[in-house]
Amino acid sequence: MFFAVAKRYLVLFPVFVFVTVIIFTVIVPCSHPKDVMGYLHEIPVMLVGLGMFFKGFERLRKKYIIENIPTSKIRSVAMGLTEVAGTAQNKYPLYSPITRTGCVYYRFLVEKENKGNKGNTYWTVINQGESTNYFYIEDNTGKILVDPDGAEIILPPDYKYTELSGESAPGARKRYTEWYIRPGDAVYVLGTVKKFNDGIDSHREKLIERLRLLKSDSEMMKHVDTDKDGNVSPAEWDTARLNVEKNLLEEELAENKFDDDILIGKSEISRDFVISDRSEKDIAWELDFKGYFMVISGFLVAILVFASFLSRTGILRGGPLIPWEILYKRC
Amino acid sequence: MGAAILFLVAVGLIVVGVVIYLIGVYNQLVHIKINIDKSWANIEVLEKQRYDEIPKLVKVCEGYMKYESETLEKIIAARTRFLGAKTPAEMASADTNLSGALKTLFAVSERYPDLKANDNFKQLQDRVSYLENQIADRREYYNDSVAIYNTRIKQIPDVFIARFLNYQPDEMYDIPDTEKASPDINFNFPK
Repeated sequence: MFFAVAKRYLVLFPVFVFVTVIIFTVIVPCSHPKDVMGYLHEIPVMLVGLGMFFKGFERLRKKYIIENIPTSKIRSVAMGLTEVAGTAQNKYPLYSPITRTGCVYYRFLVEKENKGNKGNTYWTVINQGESTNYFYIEDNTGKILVDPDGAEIILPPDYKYTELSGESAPGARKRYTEWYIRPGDAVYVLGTVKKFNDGIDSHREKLIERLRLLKSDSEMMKHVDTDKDGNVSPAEWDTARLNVEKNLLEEELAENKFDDDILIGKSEISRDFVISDRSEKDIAWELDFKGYFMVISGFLVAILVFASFLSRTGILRGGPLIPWEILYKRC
Repeated sequence: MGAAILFLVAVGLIVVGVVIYLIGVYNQLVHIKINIDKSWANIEVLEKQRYDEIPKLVKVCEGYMKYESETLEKIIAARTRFLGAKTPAEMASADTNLSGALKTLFAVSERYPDLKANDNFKQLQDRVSYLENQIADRREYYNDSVAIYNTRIKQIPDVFIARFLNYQPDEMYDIPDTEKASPDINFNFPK
C-alpha cells in the first residue's frame, strides 16, 4: 500500500534532487553553518506542503466520484465502477488478531514506545497487517463478493489500548490498535465489478476432495462396486464420479454458489476502491473536509516555509525566519 | 525583490489550484455524462436479453394456449414496437406495453395447468421475471444518474463549464401517464 502511493509520487523525486543540488552547490556554501539546518528542514517541509496541497485535490476528486455515482442494487450491478451499500456477511470465518472478534475484515497496528537521545519519546510500528479474505455485501435484492485487497479502508478504530507504565520494561510500552467490520455491520463499497472464476475453481477443488474422501472410505467403495466382484471397474468408477458431481451441483445450485461469478474489487485502470462502515454522505463529508483542509493548510505551509527560505538566503529582507533549532532543545 | 518572488509564487500556486479545480469540474461533468450513456446501454443489454426470450416463451405457450392467440399476438406486437423505440420516452412507453402484455400472459397461463407444469415455461417465466426486476433496477439507476447530471449542470461553477460544453438537461426514463393504467386482464374461470 505504502509503495503503491510512493510510486505515484516518484515523479517528484527528480525535482527534489534538482532543487537540493542547486541549494547545496549555489546557496549553502555562502551561508552560516546554522543556516544549513534551516535549509535541511525547509526544503522537505516545502515539498510536504506542496504534497498536501495536491493530495487535497485528490481527496476532493474522490469525494465527487462518490457523490456522482448512484448506488446500484446488487441484483442488477453492471460491470465497471459501481457503488453498493448493504450489510457485511462472511464468506469464510475470520477473527481479528488482537481482540479475537468475529469479523469479515480487520486491520491491526502494534507500536512500541522508544526514548530518544534527548529524553523525548516516540512510537515506532513493530507489527501491522490486514485481512484479505473475501466477504459478501448484501442488500434487499441479493449479495455480491468483495475482494478487499488494495482498497482504501475508511473505518474508525474499534479497539485502542496503550500498556500502562508498569506493564512492561521502562520505555518499552506497546500500543495496540484494531479496526474491523463485523458480520451484519452496514458497509459501503465503491469498486470495480469484474468476472471472477473462483466459483468454478472451488467447484473443481470440492469435487476432487469428495472423490478423494470416497476412495479412502472402504464402506462407501463397497457401494461403488455394484457387481460385488471385489474390484471397482472403470465403468463403476465413472458412474460413482458422475453421482458425486451431480450431488455437488445440486448442493451448489441450492446455495446459489454460482452467484459468485462476479465480485467487486480493485481495477487495473481505476484507482477508486473504497470500503467503509460509514454512510455515503458521511464519507463524502469527511473527504470534503480533509480535501479542503489539506489544500489550504498545504498552501499556507508551503508559502510560509518558502518565505523563511527566502529570508534565510537573504533575498527577502525582514521576512519570517523559522527557528528549527527549537525542535532539538529540551524545554 | 524577495517580496515580489514570494507574491508571485503564492499567486502562481493559487492559479495552479484554480486550474486543477476547473479541470476537476470538467472531468466530473464528462464522467457523469458518460455514466448516463453507460447506464442507458446497460438497460439495453437486459432489454435485448428479455427481447430474445419472448419468441421462446410464445413458442412454448402456443401449444397449450390455442384459444389465447390474441394475448400472444399482443406480445409479438409489443415486442415489435419495442424494437422501433429510440428515445427514453419511446422506450419507456414500449417497455410498459411489453411488460403489460407479459403480465397478461402470465396471468392467463394460470388457466392452463399443463402449461404451468411445463418445465420450459416455468424456467422462461422465472428468467423473464428476473430480467424485468433487473431492468427496473437499472432504470432507477439511470434516473439517478440523470438527476445527478441535471442538478450538477445547473450548479455554480459547473454551469459555466456545462454551457461551454453545450450540455443540455437529459431526459428521464418516465413512464407516460397513459401507460400507467393496470393491464386489462379478464379471468374466465369455469362456473
